[in-house]
Amino acid sequence: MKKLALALLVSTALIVPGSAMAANVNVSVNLKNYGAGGTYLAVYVVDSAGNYKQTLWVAGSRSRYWGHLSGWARGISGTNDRVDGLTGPSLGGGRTLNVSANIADSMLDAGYYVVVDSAIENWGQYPFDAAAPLSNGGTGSGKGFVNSVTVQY
Amino acid sequence: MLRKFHTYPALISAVLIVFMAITGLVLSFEPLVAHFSTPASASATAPANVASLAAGVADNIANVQRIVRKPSGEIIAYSFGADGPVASYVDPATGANLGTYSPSAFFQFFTELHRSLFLGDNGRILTGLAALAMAILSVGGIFLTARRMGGFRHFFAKAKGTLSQRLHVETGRLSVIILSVLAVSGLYMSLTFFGLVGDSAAGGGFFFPQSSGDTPIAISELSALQDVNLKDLRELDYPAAGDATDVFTLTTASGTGYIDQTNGEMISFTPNSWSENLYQTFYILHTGQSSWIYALLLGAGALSAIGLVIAGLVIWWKRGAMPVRIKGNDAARSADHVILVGSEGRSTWGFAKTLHAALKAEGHKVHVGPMNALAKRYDKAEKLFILTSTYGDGDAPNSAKNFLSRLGKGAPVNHDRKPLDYLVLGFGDRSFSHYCAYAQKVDQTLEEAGLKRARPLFTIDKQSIQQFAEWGRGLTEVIGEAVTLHHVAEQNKTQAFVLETRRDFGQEFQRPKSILRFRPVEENKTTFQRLLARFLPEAWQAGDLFGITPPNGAFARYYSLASSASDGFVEICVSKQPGGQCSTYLTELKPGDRIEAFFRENTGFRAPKDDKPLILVGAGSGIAPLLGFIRANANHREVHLFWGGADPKYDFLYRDELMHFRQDGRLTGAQIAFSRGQTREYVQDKLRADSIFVANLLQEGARVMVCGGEDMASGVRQAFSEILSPLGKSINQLRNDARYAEDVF
Repeated sequence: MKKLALALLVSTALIVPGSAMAANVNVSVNLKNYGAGGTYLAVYVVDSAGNYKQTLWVAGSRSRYWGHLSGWARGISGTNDRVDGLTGPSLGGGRTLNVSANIADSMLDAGYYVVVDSAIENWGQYPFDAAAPLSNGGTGSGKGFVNSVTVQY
Repeated sequence: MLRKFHTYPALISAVLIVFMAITGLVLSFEPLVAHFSTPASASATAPANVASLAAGVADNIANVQRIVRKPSGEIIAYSFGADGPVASYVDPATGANLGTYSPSAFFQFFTELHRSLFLGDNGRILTGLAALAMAILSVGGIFLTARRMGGFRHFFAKAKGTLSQRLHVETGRLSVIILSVLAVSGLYMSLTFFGLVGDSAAGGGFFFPQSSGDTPIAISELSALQDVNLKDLRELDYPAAGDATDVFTLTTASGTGYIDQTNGEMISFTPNSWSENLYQTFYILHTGQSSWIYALLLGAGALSAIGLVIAGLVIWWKRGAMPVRIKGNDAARSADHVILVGSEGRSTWGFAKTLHAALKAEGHKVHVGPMNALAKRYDKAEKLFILTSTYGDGDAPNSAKNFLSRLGKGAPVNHDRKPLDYLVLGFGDRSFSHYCAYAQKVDQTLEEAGLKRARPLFTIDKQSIQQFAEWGRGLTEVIGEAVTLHHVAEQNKTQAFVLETRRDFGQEFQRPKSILRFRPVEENKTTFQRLLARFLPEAWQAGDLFGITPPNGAFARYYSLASSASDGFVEICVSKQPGGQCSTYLTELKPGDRIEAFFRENTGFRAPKDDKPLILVGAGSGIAPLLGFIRANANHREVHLFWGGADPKYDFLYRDELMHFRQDGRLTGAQIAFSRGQTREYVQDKLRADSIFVANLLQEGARVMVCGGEDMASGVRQAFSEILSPLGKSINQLRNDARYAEDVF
């Protein structure tokens, strides 16, 4: 019991200072309604020059196909970022992915973008499929598999 | 051991394999459907190199992302339209848009069902296991078939056994290559998916080559693409629009590479590893994408897998259970009396059941099992009873096939390591040569193996319950107490028949004969059952047996059928035996009378389904099955009949029919002998008189079928031996080739 209390204390201590400087951002990615399923998506943040900053979510569980999300893959391959806990299953056409992520306050309303890369087996890949400004209510429409992306916090 | 290796995986995976087969069967039609729904010019193979095709597609289709060449030759372009991704057929020569390519949602559904059951990775594990099971079953099946046929040299010999056994063997032999291909390729794809074989990095490596310049050159000028032959193209991914640093990603039959879009050079090319090549080969072999004809062949394989599983389960079910239920059967290790049964069908088991019950009534612990289950040790056993029939010319019946080889590995002992006392009871029919020959062999071999014979071999003729009871009384001296054996023969499942017509011959003669024609009473059957009875391959045919148990009679008598199920009537020929219970009963029937009877297969005496000549030899009422073969000879194969009667005035059976069949071509020739006619000759005399003709027929591969009494049969054998010896052949050789069949009564 003591151990549990101690663990809780430590973990809360680790989280609380973090949350003081970060906001909880909701990103919603809506896919176009096409027949195919198994859409892989990478949702990530880039700066105004298009440089990779942070991964928010990767949809599609087989890491060997992640290379097809080439904009994101190219970006993250130059960093030490890990995607543990930020992955989930791939999506069918017409579905919506809702991502909730912690993003540093300093990046909000500061010219950053939330970008989505998409890829489907056989159908091809679409890096920078859609992008929305990282600000409350920011939206963007997709050019590939993605219909729209919206940012809220 | 080999059989377990086949049976257990099958039992575990039966449902899964049937599921895979059904979904696979559906998918096997996909290439056919795709073939006939492809725009006409899309399948034309125009000579174009990939650079001009890629340029043409880019001109014709906005925002093209990727082009893929299907194994069947069509080129599909994937692009992004206003409403989302679009796939289009393009002309391989010009890159012109030929219309939308929409992969069938139906087949996509079945593809996913077939490879993962919509259960994600867990489903893929299941389907991989199904492929593994299929591979094990194919290999085991090949070896089991070879063993069953007597070696790989006889792998394609005629399958014998019950309908399900024959179906299983025939289907298996036909489809084992396809099934092995499907299993091995499926397994390899599964292992690749889970990264257990092949290069796990392939496709997943984060390698991002960049174009070297600032300005892309025209696609048609890309030299690395110009070098690629269209038929080697697999996939080509275009660089992201507006990104001059991005590259073309090219996959060909031989590997993957990146092309600099600013100078047209190949940046890096990774040749396919052997595992990738293997994967692609297996993919094509498994899916049949390259040819719809081959895909349909795979579908036939899937269909046969369903048949194999069903027939295999039937075989297992019938083998697993003893054909009779033994109430209170003790375990082999605790029994003081062990009864082992060698039987082809059920009848000998019935006697074992009676013996078991009688011994149990005396307070013994008694175990009953098939002879094939002979153990090396029966801890508590004192006596070993062997009840066996004989198959063919002294061979082991079905449930005793492995007995002698098991015995050879060690004589059964009890816990004191003392060999058991044994008694052998043989079942047979004295009118056959080799009467109880297998029982004699077993009796002899057990003694040689060191067991003590408690009583000499006792044989029981035609399932005589009197002889069985007599044997039981004799057990007193062996086990110290009287054993009362009241055996009640198990009834066969009979159905009702009504006598339609009878034709009598030589009623004033000492052996009157009658041709009886019955019609099945079908009042209790549905139309479906009637149709089924007529068209099932199991349906009885001429040469099979019609079993009739006379009222108050102890056991059934069998008569050869002169008609087939398709004739719609049942015809037999009865010769009245002096004092014969059943023949008297039958010959006294009047039209309209009902009897109860059943059919029994006689697979060794059926007209083979080829076009080789038939030599039919018979005497007296033995003509019945022969006439049936002639009646069924709609294809007008060459058929020669040699038949002998007593007196043309009294017993020329089927005279009118024979003349009719002779005229309409179903019967090629007939030689009739009469032992009391003017010339006084026997059928074997007719054979000798025609010996050159008969020898020629035999040289052509003719098959001999003999039906009648044992005296006639041995005379005929003698005549054939004389005819065959100048040819350097013997009857035994013909028998081994299934070209000399006898039905002797």
